[in-house]
Amino acid sequence: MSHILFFVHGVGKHATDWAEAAGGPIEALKAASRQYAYFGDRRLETRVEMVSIHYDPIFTQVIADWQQNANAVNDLDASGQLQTALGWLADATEEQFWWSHVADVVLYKLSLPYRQMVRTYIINELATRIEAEFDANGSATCSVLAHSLGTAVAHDCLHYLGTTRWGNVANPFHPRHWRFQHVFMLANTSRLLESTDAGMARAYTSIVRPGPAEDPASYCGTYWNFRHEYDPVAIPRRFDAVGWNGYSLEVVSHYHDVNIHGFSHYLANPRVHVPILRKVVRRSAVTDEEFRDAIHPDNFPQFRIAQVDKARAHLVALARETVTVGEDPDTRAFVRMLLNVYKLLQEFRQ
Amino acid sequence: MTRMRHVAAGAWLLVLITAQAAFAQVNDVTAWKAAPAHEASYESVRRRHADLLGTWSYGRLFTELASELDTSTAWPAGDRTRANLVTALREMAARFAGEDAKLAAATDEASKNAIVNTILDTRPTGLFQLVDETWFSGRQFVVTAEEVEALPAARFQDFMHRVTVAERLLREMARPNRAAAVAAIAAAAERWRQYVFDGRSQYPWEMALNGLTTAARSDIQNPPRRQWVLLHPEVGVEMGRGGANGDYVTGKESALVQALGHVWYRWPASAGEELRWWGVSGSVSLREEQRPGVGFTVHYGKVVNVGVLWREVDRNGRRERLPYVHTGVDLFRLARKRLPDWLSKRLADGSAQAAALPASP
Repeated sequence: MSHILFFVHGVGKHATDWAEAAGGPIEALKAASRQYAYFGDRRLETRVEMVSIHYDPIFTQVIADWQQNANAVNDLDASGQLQTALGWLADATEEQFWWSHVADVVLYKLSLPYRQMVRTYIINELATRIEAEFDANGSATCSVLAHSLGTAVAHDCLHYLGTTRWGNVANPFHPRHWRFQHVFMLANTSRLLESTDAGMARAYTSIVRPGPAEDPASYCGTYWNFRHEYDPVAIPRRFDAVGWNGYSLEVVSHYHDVNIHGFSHYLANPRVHVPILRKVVRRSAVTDEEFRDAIHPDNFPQFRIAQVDKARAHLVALARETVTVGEDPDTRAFVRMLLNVYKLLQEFRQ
Repeated sequence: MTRMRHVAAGAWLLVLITAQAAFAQVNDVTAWKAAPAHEASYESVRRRHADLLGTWSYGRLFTELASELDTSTAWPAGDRTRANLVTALREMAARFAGEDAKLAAATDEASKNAIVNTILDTRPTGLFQLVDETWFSGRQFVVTAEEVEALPAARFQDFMHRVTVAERLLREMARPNRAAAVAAIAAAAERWRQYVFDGRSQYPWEMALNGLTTAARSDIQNPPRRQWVLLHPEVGVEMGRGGANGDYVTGKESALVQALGHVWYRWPASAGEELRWWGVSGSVSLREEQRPGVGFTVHYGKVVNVGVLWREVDRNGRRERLPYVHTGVDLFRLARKRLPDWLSKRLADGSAQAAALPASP
C-alpha cells in the first residue's frame, strides 16, 4: 500500500499538470530523492503516490465570467459611465500579476461563497481518493504537502473534513476514526488567512495539529512547518505553534532562484525535503550521514546563483518589506506588500 | 586444523550475515503485503468467524481475536509486543459491550447501519491505524514499527496480519456510513458549485455583500437560500411602441443595472435537478439616445429577466404613457450552457455519488 501525498498549490496560474510538470514540486521532490542511496533502486514514485489538487480553475472561471460580462455591458454603454466602473473588471486576465496572484488571495480572504466552493471542491477530491484507498486496501495512509495560499486552504479543508457531520451521519473521517499521517506546510498562511466561518476554527485551535491515534482534537501524526527567513508571504501573522508534540519548525534561508517563495525552491533545500522523504517513506530512507552531507555548505550553499551581491540586495529589500508590512497587517497592507514583492521579483530577475 | 577452523568460522559468519540481510529485507512495515493464506489473514478470519460477522457481533469477534493471539504458540510467553496487541484487541472488544445484542436483534441492514452510526458517533475506532510508524500511540501499550520489524519473520508476519485485520474489520463495518458521508460531501460540493456558477451571477461587490449577509448564515454543506442583488450591470433589451401611432413594437439593446434586489433560491430536491430562483430588483436602463429609464425587474429562472421601466420624455418630467418592457440577459449563464470540461470531468464521479443522496436542505 502506497503512502498518498496530496499536493496543494498556492497563488498564481496553475495548469492541470502544475505539480507533475518539469520544474513543478513533484519533479522537485523526485529529483531531490535521487541523491540518496535508498532511492537508488527504489524510485520515490514506487513508494509514494503523489496526487496534485488543482483548484485554480475555479478562480479562473470566476474571473473570466466577470471579465466577459463587464466587456459586454461596456460595449453597450454609450454614456461611458459603466465603463469607468467596470473597466478594471473588463481588463481582468490572469496574465496580470494582480489577477493571477493577488486576487485569489483577496477572494479567498474576503468572499465566503468563493471560499466554500474551493473548500468543498477540494474536500470532495480528498474524500473520494481516501475512500478509494479504503475500498482497495482496508486502510488509507495519507499526508498533505501544501504551499502558500494552499496552506490556508488545506488547513480549512482538513478541519472541515474531520469535524463536519456530512449528510447528518457519523463522520468516518473524524479523528477518532482516522487521521492523516503528516501535514507539511511551506510558507504557512493558515494563520494569516484564518476565518471564523460556521464550523471553522482558527489555525491554533483547529484539529489540524499533531496528536495520537483517536485523539479527537488532532488530525495528523506530525505537523511540519517550513518557512524561508526572507519570504514575506510567510512572515505576517506567522504560524509558530507552541507546546505541540509532533510539531517541527524549520527555517531556511537559501537563495537558488529569484523566486524564493516558490514551491520547488523550498523543496530543493534538504532541510525541507529530507524530513518529508523520511516521513512519507521511512526514517531510514535518508541516513544521518547523508543528511549532514546534503546540508553542508559545500554541497548546498546559501547562494547558488550567478550574481550573489544582487541576491543579497534582493534579500535585504525583501526584509525591508517584511518590516514595513508588520506582524499583523490588514488585507490592504498585505496586498500592497505582495505587489511590492512582485515588483522586486521583476527588478531582480533582470 | 587452524585453517579449517578459520574457514568454518568464516562460513558461519557468512551464513549469519546472509540470514540477517534476508531477515532485514523481509521485515518492512511500509512495504508489507498480506498473504491471504496466512491463518491470521483477513480472508481466514472472515471464514473462521463467519457466524460472528454474520450477526455483526463485533464485541465477541474482537474478544475471540484477542484470545486467539493470547493463546498462540507462535509467540513466546511474556512477549511484550504480543501482549500489547492483545490489550488493544480487548479494549476494542470492550467498546462494543452491549452493542452485540442490539446488532443481533436488528432485523435488517438499515437498522444495523443505524446502530453502527450510533457506535461511530460515540466510540472511537481508529486504534489500529499505523500513525507515524507507531500503533496505539499515546497509550501504555504502544507498539512501534521498529520493534515489530525486529521480530523474527514468522512473528512479524503474524503481527502484521492481526493488526491490519483488526483495522480492516472496523473499516468494513463503517463502509455504508463512509459511502453516505462521501456522497454527502460530493453533494455539498455540487451545491456550492451550483450556487457560484449556476445561481444568479454575482459581481465582486455582490459576492462581498452576500458573504457578509446571506452566506454568513449558510454552512459548508448548504449554500445560502437567498441572495442580494446590488448594482448589477447586464445586457438588456427594451421593447416599446414605435411609429406615429405606436402601432408597432421596437426593440433596442441597453445596459441594464439592477440597482438593488433580492433573489430566493429553490434548491433541488434530488440530484440532476436544476437550481431555480425568483426575485425582484429595482432597475435602471441606459441607452444611447435616451435618458435613463427606471423601473423594476422580476427574475425567474436562469438566463432571462423581465420587467418594466419608465423613461423621462422631456425635461419637464413627463414620462411615456406606457412603460417599456425590458428583458435582461445574464451573460454569465448564457455563456455557460454547459459546464467547463475540466469541472464536468472532475464532478462526474461526484454526480454519481450524489445520485444516491437523500433530499436536499
